[in-house]
Amino acid sequence: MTSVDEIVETLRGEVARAARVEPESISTGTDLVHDLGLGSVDLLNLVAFVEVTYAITIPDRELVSLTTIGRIASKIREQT
Amino acid sequence: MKVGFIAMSGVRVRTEELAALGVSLPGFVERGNVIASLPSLAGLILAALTPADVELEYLEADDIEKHGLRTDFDLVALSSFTAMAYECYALADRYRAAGIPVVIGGLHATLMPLEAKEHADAVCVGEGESLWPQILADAKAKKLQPYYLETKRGSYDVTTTPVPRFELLDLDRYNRVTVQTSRGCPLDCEFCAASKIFGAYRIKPVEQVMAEVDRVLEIWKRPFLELADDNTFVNKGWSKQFLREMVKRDVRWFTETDVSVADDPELLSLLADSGCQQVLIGLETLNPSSFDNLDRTDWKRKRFESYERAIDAIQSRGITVNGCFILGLDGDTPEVFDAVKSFVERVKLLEVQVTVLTPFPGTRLYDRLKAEGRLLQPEFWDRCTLFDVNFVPKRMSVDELEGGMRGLFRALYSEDALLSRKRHYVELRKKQLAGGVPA
Repeated sequence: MTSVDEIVETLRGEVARAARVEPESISTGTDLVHDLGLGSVDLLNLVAFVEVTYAITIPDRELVSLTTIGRIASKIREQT
Repeated sequence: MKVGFIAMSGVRVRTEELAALGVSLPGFVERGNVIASLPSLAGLILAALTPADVELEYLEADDIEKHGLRTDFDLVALSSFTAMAYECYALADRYRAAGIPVVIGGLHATLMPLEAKEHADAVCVGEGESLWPQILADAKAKKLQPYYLETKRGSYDVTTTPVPRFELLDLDRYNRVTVQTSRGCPLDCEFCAASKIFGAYRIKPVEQVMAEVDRVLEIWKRPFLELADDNTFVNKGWSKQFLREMVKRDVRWFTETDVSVADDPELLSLLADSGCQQVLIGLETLNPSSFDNLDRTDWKRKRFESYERAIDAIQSRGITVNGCFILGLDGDTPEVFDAVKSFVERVKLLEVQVTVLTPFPGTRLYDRLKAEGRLLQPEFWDRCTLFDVNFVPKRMSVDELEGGMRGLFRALYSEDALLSRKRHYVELRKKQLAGGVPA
């Protein structure tokens, strides 16, 4: 099983690439929309990445509401 | 001398029931907020053509509403779209009452110069770049002329346009900034006011556009650009050259184009690699008879059958499509609402924009509907919002058009409908990530 730390590191890299910032500047509580300026399409791209990487399905109602990597990591752990 | 450029942004839907839907439907609110917060490129370009000894300031009309009339200007320059014309005139009247000369320009004033002159000391008729230096010189000498006229529509050489003064913007209040690559559109649709004003389709050299993009990058760390074009990728050779340059920059951006962008896989791949997030495409209608007289060469009718394939090809690359439909075209019957709904549900456009046919003054559409006695009022500029009905449709009543549109809004912009389209987009992206679709 992938550890939470490994999940967070993977997400941090992916979000940093999307937001064009240094990974070190992103914490588990950084708000992807308000702090990093990601848009709704970025969030959908992130969901696609997460679903492919961890073979899970994020419920449709949460497609654009998982706005910190901490919350996304928790969701991944729930399903893996 | 001190000049104030005042931009009039955003529109308010007048029909109460539609206005209520507009603030409650999630999909409708998102795009509305973006449009309302775009800065005025015209003001920034004219600022760049203003000599250094002239002090200038860029303001939004909201600033006046919030903080009161600023009277420390020697000249006020106003520009507005048709829907904001009355508000523009009211502001102009206040400035003139305060003893400050006013010049009005822009799309509406160019189409209705006599009307604009009733509220201004001078009207700039046509593209402002070639007229602004003279306006400024005359204002300095306190000898403003009533009208400043472009010699011939579309004659301005866009390759001489300076880099806009983006640094005048308070960047914290905008979520996008505009850059322009071209003016006009060769399709010259009957309803389009921009085609009427801009005349011939003119394009800037790629290096000129990139100088503007690079200027934005100097002052904005992670910009989102909205190209202020009517149809960006008309010239495919230019488009690839432009996109190769955009690939080298760290920007995200949005533009308007047509379905032909999906014909060329290389172009699509460059588009995806360049940071393009969304293209807005005027699909206009799904009803073959509604294409009658729509554009000059019947181009859109010829491309109608490729819509679905084109949308899928673009969205598969991770570029979302905002598909636009016009309701109330002459071929439209009450069946049009279900047809659009079914198409959007089947094709899963991530975003969709549904508007009502709007006879903007100065367009061929306005002249035709007026000649046919089908305009509901002789003057209705504040209802030129793209959502208020101002004419008698040919194959349905006004009530049927308004009611059908409200029903379609509820169906397309509800949370469930949005989630369904978002899920489809995620599945497309997953296929791409898994290697099923070329990146």
